[in-house]
Amino acid sequence: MAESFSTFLYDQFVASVPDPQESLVGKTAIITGSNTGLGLEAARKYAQLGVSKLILAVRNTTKGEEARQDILTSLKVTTAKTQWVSQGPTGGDVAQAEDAAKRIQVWELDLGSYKSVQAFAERCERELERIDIVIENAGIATYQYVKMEDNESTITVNVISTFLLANMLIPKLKETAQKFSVRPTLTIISSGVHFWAQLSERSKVQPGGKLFDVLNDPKTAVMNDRYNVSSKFTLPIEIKDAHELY
Amino acid sequence: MFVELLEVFYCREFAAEHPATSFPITLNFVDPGFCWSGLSREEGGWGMYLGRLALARTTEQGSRTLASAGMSGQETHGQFLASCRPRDVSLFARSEEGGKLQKMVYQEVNEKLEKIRVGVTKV
Repeated sequence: MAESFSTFLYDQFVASVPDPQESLVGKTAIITGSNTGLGLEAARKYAQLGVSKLILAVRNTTKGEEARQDILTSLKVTTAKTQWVSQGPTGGDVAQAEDAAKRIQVWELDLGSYKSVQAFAERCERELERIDIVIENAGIATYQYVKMEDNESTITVNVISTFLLANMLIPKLKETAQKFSVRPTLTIISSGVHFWAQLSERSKVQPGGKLFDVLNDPKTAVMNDRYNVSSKFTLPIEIKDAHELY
Repeated sequence: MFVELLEVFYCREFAAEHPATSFPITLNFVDPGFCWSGLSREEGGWGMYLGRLALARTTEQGSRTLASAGMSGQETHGQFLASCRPRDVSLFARSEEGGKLQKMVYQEVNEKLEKIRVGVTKV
């Protein structure tokens, strides 16, 4: 969501969002929250662009496996179509499909748990030869005050765990940069709704006190305000992709 | 809303501390726009549903913003991307007070990260 209504309309109706076409052959990508929604579609795109290794980092690996199968099915359809055009209906896509099945993997990552985040990052360090792209898409939105780890849940998942993962993966990204002479990318899916936030809670921070203590205080955390979304609200606000699922 | 602002602050301060010239990784952050999320149960009730019918990008179109951000180069380091292009963050985030708050958020998040794992922010 943009700063003004006119920018919003521009984004939704005028701005073109080009479909990336560059080949990703040889690259390794990680997409969190990729079992559904925008994360899944971005994963499908990377698979179509030939990414050599794609990690679907998801909380629920059963749903992750469904997403993986869904991507593999759409790849087979695309491959079959291309071959129909180039070689006629007999062209075999088996080898390519088998290759794709190996390239896409489902790994468990629960951003509600620091232990899980660390275990995931350690696994990346151990098992991946390189990391070229990380898209941190997973997140939650809730109207209820729930604690996860040491914070209110949206802070733990969307902020602390998100940047814990980012920082833990950086050494591997740096190593990739050096070894393969590339510039890896770390992308955080945020949202334009920050335009409407002024963090008014800051006025409650005592001298020497912590902003996060105020943000985590159930007495001052007005959850509806946290996302400013209500069913009566007619102008829609995009919240992060995953809600209850990531 | 404010959770997104915290993300914006952290990313911007991180990039300020690790400029593109000396840091070999690009960190950017993205607004996918207003999209169908591809879930059977969309959030927000009827108002949101009608809003989506009138305005929303498809999930596939929205996913392009993620995919292209992940494939973009050094020029997007520390940048906010909307409709696949860099855009200014909010006036408040760019204000003097926003700048102070940005440093505070960055420092407090890093303190929390160091408590979870010593040395993790020394990148």
